[in-house]
Amino acid sequence: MMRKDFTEALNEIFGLVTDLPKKCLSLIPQPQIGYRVLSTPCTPTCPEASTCPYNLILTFKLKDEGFWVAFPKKRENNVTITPALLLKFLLIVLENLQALEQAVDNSLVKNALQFLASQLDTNIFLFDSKGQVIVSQSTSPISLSTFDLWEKLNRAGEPEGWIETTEGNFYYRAFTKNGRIEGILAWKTEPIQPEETDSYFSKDSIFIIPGKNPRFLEIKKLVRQIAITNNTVLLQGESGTGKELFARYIHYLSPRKDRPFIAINCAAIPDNLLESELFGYEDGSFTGARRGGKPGKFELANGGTIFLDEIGDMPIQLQAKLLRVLEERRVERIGATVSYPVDIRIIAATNKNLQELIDAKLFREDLFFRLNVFPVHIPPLRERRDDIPLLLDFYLKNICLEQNKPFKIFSPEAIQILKNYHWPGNVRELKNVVAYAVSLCDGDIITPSFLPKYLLNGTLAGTPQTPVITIGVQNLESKKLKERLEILLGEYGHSTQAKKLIAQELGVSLATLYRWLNKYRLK
Amino acid sequence: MQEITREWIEPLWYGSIFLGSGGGGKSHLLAIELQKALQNRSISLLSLEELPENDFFCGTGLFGSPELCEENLPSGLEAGIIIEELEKHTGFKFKGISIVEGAGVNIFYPLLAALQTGLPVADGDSMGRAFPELQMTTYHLENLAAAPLVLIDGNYHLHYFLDKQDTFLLELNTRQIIGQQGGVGYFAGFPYPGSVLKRVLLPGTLNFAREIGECFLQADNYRELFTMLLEVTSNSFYGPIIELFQGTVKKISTFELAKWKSATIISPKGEELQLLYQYENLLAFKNGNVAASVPDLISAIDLNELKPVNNNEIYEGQRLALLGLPAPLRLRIKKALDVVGPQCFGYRTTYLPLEKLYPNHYRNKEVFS
Repeated sequence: MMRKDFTEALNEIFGLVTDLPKKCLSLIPQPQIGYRVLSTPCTPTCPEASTCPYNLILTFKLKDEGFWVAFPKKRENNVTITPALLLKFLLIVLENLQALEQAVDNSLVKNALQFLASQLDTNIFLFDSKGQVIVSQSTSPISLSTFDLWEKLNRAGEPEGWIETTEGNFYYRAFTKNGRIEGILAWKTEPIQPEETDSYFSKDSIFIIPGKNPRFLEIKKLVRQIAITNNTVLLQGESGTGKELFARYIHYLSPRKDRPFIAINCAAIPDNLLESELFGYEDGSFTGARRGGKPGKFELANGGTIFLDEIGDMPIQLQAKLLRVLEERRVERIGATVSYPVDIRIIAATNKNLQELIDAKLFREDLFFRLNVFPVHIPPLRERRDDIPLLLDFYLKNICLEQNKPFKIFSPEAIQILKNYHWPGNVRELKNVVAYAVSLCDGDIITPSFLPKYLLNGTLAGTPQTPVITIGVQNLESKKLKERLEILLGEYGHSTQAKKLIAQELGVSLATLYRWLNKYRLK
Repeated sequence: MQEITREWIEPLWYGSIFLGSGGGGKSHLLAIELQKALQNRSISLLSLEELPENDFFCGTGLFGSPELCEENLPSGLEAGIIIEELEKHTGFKFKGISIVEGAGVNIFYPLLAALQTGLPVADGDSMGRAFPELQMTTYHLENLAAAPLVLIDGNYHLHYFLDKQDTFLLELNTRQIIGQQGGVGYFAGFPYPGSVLKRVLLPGTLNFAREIGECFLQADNYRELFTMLLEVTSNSFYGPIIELFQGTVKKISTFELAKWKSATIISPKGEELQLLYQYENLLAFKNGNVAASVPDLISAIDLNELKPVNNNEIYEGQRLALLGLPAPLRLRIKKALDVVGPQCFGYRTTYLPLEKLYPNHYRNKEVFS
């Protein structure tokens, strides 16, 4: 093919003759390397020397092939070409071809690539345009043939993205020139499972969600099962039940555990900022946009998990954009003209009833169905009271270690009070109570006197049996509420961050909290 | 209320050895006898929360050498005798049996006593593991005496310790008698009502031992076993286990003048660990540093058998994994360490919790911060 193109070019552009008669070829001496210029007659013995139509013959070798070019005595076109010019042209062609030859089977580049690949703990395949593997690395035996992988890559269509295979997800990038694919690089986006070794000295820290309540055990079992899949998970539960903990647990148990876990609270970020936080923006997309643009959380979570907390608070116009991410797994930065493929697992959480939000037209139904692939309902602490002693023990131990204090225990009376409390703030509140008690108690035993006063004053919002929702706080008697606020301010401080935490713990908005603080003159 | 049936015995067996932390003894014959006896019967098991406030329970167990118990198997009759004697002298009618040492053979003997008397057993114990002395109990930490206590020796002689006396003194007295009278004896003591047991005992011992034992029955390989044990222990009042070491026993030495014995274990990489033990595994040293210390539990697993082993079963050339299990918090508060810490066994050092020795392993990933 190449020979044909080349000789045609010589023929048409320069008006040179490339198809020499066979009888000539037998007489033209072949150079071993480079080129040779012959003035006719080529040999003194040529029988047709007198009738030779050429005045100059060039013979040269390119890629082990012999070429012949004859300079005719009579020109058919008007291009004037001197032998010196032609020689120069041929020399350039030769140089370039030699460089190309070196590039094609340059073992140095190939070896260097192979070495670089070996430094990465993942599977890598570099294909040329015909699907031949140029460089590959498999850190573990894979059942997928390179041909199958090539086929899949070829079908992918996009110049860059990821494909799913039986061996996990591969990210790929196609290199094109003039619209034609020159090669494709594909690498596995998931970490390869470490080989089982004899010793089990865990390098990882351990991940514990304490709880032995039968219903809670069922949930943990379900979560373990779905963790290994790529499915979207919707975590529902009251504030403080540990939705983010579960999201992290799912990430930790998934093959993505060594990749990023990015959490974003949709309610904590103003609506107009949320879009740029999630999707990122291009350079100059709006006034004040950071130079060079900024990647969004979806991009940052690429290969890993993104946790969208308080999804029910996401503005409706952003929901459409999120839906597109869920459907297409592509993200478009604000102000960008192209979208990027992202390999992410999405975990969403809410403490709101999404069905009610859908009825109120505040949440898109189609998004709900997309998110609700695996709904997990995390029960409030009051529905798993049997776990309270275990949770107290767990946090007590860990908080003593964190605060570098000697171990302590709760007195039976203190445990009784804590077991009877209805925990509207759930596990988060329980942990805060334990931290409060550990901070105050210097001795071995935490007696009721070290517990926050609101616990001792009986229950916060009614009897323990009443299923208390966070709104219940609003029905509090003023005195108790004021007392609770005082305690919380004492515990958290008066900073804006502290007030956010207090509002969260009470299950009210920041605005409501400020209203209360004004009302009780606690500012 | 749960029922202890025949199926409980095998997992309890492995769990009791694991919680023995190298000691606590074991009696295979006793376990088999219990299995036989539970063929058509069961024993009621009450959680501490279920204990009736005013009903008295009687603590029971074995003193002395578990090996001798294996040679001269208790029939359970002696349990009936000592409990009845204690009832006579205290005036209490016992409504249940309690476990003093929730490990080794002393998990099983109270079950035999329960079968003999037809009484339920309280699911808890006062040691949380095996300890060698009578004062190393949560009763002692609450200033509650072991006496009144009735002891029956290997020759079926009864000994009464009816006056409330210091538990350490009682320990010395009973040990003296056992030493002179056949090396093994059984006691009935710690007569306390449910209201007291609820406060004093460590909860859920039998269920925990059973869950631990189930791991050994279900796991097909060491990795699986470790993962299962990690899950069970993480959701307990103990804490997540950790692998302290894995290797082959190179040498076992006895320090004649001291009570200590040691086993040197070598890893495939050439690292060495020294396990120091008396009755129970008490300390481990790696590269000259403490790798685990009492009251945290140090339990050995035979890697070929994938079963827990006592320290008197360790032999040179054996492949072992040593696992550490944090002791329940009740045994690790300052007051308790004065009774069960390393110093109480003659090692003059402060106790180092496993969580502080292995912060990377124990740095829990959790988000309520």
